[in-house]
Amino acid sequence: MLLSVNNVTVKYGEVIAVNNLTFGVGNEVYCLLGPNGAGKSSTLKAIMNMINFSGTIEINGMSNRRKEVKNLVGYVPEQPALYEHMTPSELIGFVLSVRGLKNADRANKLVNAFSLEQYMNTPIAQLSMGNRQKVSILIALLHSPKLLILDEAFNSLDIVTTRILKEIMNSQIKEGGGIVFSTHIMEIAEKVCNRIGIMRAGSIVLETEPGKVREAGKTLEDVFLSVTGLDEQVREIVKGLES
Amino acid sequence: MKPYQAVYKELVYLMYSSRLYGIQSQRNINIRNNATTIKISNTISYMFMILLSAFLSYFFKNPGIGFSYLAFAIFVYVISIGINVVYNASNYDLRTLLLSLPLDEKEATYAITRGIMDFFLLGLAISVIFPPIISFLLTHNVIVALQVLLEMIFGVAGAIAIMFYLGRKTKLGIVSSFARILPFVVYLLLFSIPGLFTGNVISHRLVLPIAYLPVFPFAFSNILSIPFSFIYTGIVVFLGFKSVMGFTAPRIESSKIEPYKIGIRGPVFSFISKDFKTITRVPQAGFLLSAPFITLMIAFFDRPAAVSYDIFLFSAGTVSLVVLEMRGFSLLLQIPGAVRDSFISKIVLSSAVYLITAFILLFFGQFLPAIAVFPAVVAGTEISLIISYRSILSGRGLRLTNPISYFIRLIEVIIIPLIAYALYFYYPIYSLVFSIISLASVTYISAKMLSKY
Repeated sequence: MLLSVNNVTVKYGEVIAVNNLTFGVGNEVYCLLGPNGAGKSSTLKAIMNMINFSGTIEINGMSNRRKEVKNLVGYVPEQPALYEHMTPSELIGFVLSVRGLKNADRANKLVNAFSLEQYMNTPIAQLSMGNRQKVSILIALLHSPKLLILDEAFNSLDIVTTRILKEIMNSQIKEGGGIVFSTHIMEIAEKVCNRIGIMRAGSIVLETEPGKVREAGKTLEDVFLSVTGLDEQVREIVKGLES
Repeated sequence: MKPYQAVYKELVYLMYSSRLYGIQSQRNINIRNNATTIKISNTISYMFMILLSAFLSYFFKNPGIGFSYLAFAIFVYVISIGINVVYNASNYDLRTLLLSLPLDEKEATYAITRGIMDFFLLGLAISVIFPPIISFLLTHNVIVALQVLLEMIFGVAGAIAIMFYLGRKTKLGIVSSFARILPFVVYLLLFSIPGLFTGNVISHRLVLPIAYLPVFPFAFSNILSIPFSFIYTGIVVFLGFKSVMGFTAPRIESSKIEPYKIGIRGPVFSFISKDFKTITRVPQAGFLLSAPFITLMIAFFDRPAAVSYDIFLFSAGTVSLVVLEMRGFSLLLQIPGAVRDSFISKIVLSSAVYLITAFILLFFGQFLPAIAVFPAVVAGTEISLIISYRSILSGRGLRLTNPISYFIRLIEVIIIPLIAYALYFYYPIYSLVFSIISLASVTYISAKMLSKY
């Protein structure tokens, strides 16, 4: 297992964001699917050891609390977290240096792939949301991580970059890596994920595969609404709107 | 709730959580209480400063001089707290939501500006109203009261102008960095002259030489000083207005295809390079860079007090050093050892600036005390950084908009260097020994705390 999450709980004061969560990820794309506030981002932050949690998380057999683990993981947060007063070229150089990488070839390839050349000397604070997101993804890929953690990574991306990111995800799997990926967009989850964990109120309420959903003659949306108990709520709301 | 009230509360939330640093808040933030506490705390602080200045006015028998201390305190206070507020406002998209509501461009601009100003408004209003009344009661002279009124408007408008000017969009290049620091230094100089003269000249003669009338007309109560004061105040109010408008103007993405280069260095050197670049681009943190200029100026006027001013400036400057990490803070948590390297880099950078000021003091015979307290100043900087890092990493944000918390932080940072400086007058070697022991202890504790990142 590349990632194993065991009995993880995350609390913000009295609020339980993640409740005794357990799941594992191997050489695959594992998707956390859930409504807003289901605990997806908190789970990913706990995997990154960026927030306090109870339980255990192991990456490649090592506790995620160990510093060395950070070299195995690439993380794209929900909101790009970048040095806004640096240019992308300065930031990329900085991250390569701090990670102890000596070669900028992969960085240059990724700059090219994400069509960022014309923005490389512009302060990040002045870039559009889409371009910031591209820089954020690029930074997470620089050290060829074994495990990629993508929190709503397709947000703000144009069609071409979305396609490129999907290809990057494919090659990550071909090279033996793993991806944990959170989204609330069903179509993307259906297309790119091998396994899906549907979350509600901090827990995984169903683990399934897109193939199994299709075999059952259903759509992921139907399954999602039914297992989260939101179908009834949606019907009520629609009724209310119609009246 | 009015739009500006929502903006104010959002800014309070950003200041009191680590959302802006890319780290989720880990506890419930009581915005309503914080928003009110900041206003009460502001009012108390301003009233205290007004009473102190009123006492000085009475003591020097010159309200123009006495209240220049208040104007100076407002300047330091608005800039040191305002840099954090403006930083949050300029790095967070407050405009989009406001424009999606039935508000036009002007109304959205007003809401943002007023939301920022709400941190200071009550205190500033008190500072403009009370000093002229107190001056009139002390002197029974309408001209003096008018002079003080103009002086207070000058002080308040200038502080606001510089605060918003510093928060404008990032420009690359060293020239634009100095262009940002320049008005800050000039303004500080303007207010420091009467204050510094008070220490050296006024205490003996109680009259400011007339040659200084064009520099600081507010200290004079004669027919010549009135038009000067009106012109100065008018100009600063106009600049303040321009500065506010410039800050709230929408930002446009620009791009041109230029060759770029990705430079790779050693980890710590890379952090130092990043921090140096950022400090020249983020004027909110660039306060520290103005220290050598200000030290030079103070040393000219008040040689013996130069080291103590220097210690104060450094302590105030290091409180905001953590903003060099900004949103990138969560990036640090993704790279092994990066939090520690970021900490070391800031210590190296601030120490280098301090050593420059110590070198300047060599020419004024103050090098030895400046060097004796150097390890204690570094220890103070380490305390300041470790408190800020811990606060952000635990999800509590910077929490510096409340003046009382700000002063508490300042005391935490300044206490070790001040003790070292006091010891210097008792026995210089004790000062050095105390400084070194303090630095070793604080460094040990900091290293232990940072080792887990």
